[in-house]
Amino acid sequence: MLMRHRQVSFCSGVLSCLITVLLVLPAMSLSAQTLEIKLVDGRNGRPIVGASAYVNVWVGEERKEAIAIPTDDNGVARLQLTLNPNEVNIPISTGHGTIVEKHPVVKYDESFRINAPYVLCGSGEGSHSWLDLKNFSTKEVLDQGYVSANTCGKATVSPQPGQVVLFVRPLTFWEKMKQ
Amino acid sequence: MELSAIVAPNNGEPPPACQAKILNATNNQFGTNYADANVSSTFNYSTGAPAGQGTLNLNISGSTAGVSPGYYPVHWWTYAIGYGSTLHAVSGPGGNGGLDSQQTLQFGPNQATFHIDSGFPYNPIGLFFHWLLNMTKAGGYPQC
Repeated sequence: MLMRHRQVSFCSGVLSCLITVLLVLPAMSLSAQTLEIKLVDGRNGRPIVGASAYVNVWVGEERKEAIAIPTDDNGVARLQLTLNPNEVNIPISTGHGTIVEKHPVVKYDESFRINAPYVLCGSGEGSHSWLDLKNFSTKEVLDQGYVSANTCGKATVSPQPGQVVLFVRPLTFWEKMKQ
Repeated sequence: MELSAIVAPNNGEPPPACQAKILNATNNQFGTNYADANVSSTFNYSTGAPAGQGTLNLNISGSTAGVSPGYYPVHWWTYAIGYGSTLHAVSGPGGNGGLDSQQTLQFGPNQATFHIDSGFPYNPIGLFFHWLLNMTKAGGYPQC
């Protein structure tokens, strides 16, 4: 009787541990997710780099100000999502139009929006609004990735989990004058 | 990290004042009553400007009844000389005969984007100032 009680007790202990691990693991994986946003020149497949190469990102509705993330030498801007508020490294609001941060860490949210100073290669191209790209599903991007259409050239990229690839091109002179 | 190290550089007028300036110009021009609460998101953009620099754009969420996209000088004399703060109610991609921004919200009954340019582009001199001040490094990319 005692042995059986010990066995039941042991099993329930193991079960508790398993449940705890199963509950904690997804949270741990979410606590350090990194989103990569890559700007690719749709005309030639090269990364968009330079002093004025960046993306504006809004994660959820927490901030009105865009988080401007400069791209690196590979045309990639990185954004870390966390569930731990102590890891967040930018303020909720600064009163500025944009918060510039090379390595932003922000609170995880189910959706995010992107805007960048280029023309999106895709349907409508020259008449397309970047802000039409709003409401990316964070989970979908983390799970499957996203690659925008490319009507500027023949360059293609396969979607990678956690990565948003945007085919863009610089503005023409007249497009610049419209701003 | 200090806050000053991570916020956008201040290109002259403090950005909060820029937001108020844009809202005031919009309300004065169209008789709207937009307040900070109507500002759904903000970003800076000017052609060639580094991250965080450039014209401050306010994306407004609220009725746009009575608002017409276009350029509206804040002072009457800007119509004549071209130079001066000019409210730009952006019609968005493909709007205004194709002469409008691709970086902003599509103008609609409940949303619009506003910013202030440094010249009235329908005046040749204003077009020059708009280019020089808002689109080149020489102009310092003023926020409003």
